[in-house]
Amino acid sequence: MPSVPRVDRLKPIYTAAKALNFGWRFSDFLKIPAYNGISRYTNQLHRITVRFCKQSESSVGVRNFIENQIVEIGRKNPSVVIYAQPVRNSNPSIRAEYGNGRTLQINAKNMTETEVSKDFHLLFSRSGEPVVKLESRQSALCPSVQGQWTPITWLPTAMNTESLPAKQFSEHKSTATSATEYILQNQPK
Amino acid sequence: MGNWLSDYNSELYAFGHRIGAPEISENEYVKALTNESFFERADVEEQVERAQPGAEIGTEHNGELVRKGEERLSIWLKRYLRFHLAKAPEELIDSVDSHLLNDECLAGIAGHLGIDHLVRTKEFPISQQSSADAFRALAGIFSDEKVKNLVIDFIVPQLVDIDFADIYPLADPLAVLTDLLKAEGVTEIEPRLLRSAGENSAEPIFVVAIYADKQKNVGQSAGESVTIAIDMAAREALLRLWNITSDRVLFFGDRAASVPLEKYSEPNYSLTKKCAPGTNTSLLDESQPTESPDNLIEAVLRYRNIVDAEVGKSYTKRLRHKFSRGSLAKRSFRYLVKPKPYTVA
Repeated sequence: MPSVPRVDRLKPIYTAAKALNFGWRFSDFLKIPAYNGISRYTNQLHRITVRFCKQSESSVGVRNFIENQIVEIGRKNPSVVIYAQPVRNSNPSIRAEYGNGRTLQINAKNMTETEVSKDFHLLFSRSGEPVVKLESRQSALCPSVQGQWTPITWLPTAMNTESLPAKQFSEHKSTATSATEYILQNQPK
Repeated sequence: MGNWLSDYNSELYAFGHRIGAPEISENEYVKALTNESFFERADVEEQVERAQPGAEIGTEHNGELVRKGEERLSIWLKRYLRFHLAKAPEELIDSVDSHLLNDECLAGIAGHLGIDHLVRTKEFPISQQSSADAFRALAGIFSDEKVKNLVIDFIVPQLVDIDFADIYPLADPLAVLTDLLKAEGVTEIEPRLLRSAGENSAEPIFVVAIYADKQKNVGQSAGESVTIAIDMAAREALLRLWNITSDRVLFFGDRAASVPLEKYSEPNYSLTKKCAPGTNTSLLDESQPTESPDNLIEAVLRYRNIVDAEVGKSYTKRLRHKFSRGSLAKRSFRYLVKPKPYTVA
């Protein structure tokens, strides 16, 4: 270890950057994966796996959910593959895989059937993008007619041939009526 | 989930519904999703029990379907483009078409549809080309109506992000514009410098407009040099001439599907034929740099031999450790220039 620790070396930066997974990104712009919904909406959830134990008490909600609801949900969503995977003595979990390659997992330990159902539907309706604080992007449905404004966008063309400074372009312009203008316009009788 | 845990048949069934064609049989999907290299896999060749994935289904690969599907995708996409860009030349439509149907774009769509998980291939990870080929092969097994839906649902939406000024970069847009306008009866076309500012600065700006018959401004644009500004203005004028403006409305979804696109099978006019014989209608070749880069070695040698000999090594060179952002020995500039006994006396 050198006596003076370095903070601008590649290794510590790289090590720190490895930890910057999506969990640490707090804000992002609103995105839809693969232009979904512009022409047709396809569910971005591709497969969902329910892991549970057949015996343990912590899986009871998941077991009830599988028994009562999962077939109906599968019938309504033919584009999603649902796997039910019994694993002995494990904490129950629901793992969802999305079109963008991300995986989301919810620990369903000690959940009731209603809670499992709620989380299951949450995973169904998500796009797979991480949940972040959304930032607004400056956008408009119709782009500006004049194009991007530059300092020379609305300069009068008469200025082209004039040698500056010229009197007519040096006048102060104001929307408010000055006292002089008011008196000139409303002459006392 | 790894392939060893997923059920290939269920995945195929779900995929059929996802892409909107559940009526196609599983075997046909398997054929379309089988890459030629799959049968060279060691586990498939040696007929290992439970070779991955679904090796027992089918012995055909998608080589033929790829060619067929590529053609059919292109036909429908071009029909859609001709419907929207009726006044544009066929060359523009071709370049948009080849951009949207290149490996990169199609592999992106295929990835989001989950095709990457289903393709049976030797390579891992799957290459962009195999992924895109699998998507093309799907168009090969679909009915004509379904291919139309495939194009409208998955390929056409990418048009919202396409910049039409960049996708067809003519090498000499002003000459092309001149030819097209002269065919419409305009006698004189001239680019005029409307404004300029900061000619000697790092960010000069020149605003150029193209005038037809000294009366009408047909296109106007800014640029960092006069030649660039003329080119940009001419491109702008061409896009206006072809009715490709930012307020155009593209049809998507059901609205696009209800258009009788079959009527737009005839190619639009060819730009090469419409222009005069000598006009340059080729595209910019971005791969060749137009100017040679600055000679770095010469600059370094000049600094070392001439500048260095005169002024000596700077503080930032001699005392590098004191300037480094990551060093605890960093000193402020005021500290370094503080008068010391040996500098004063």
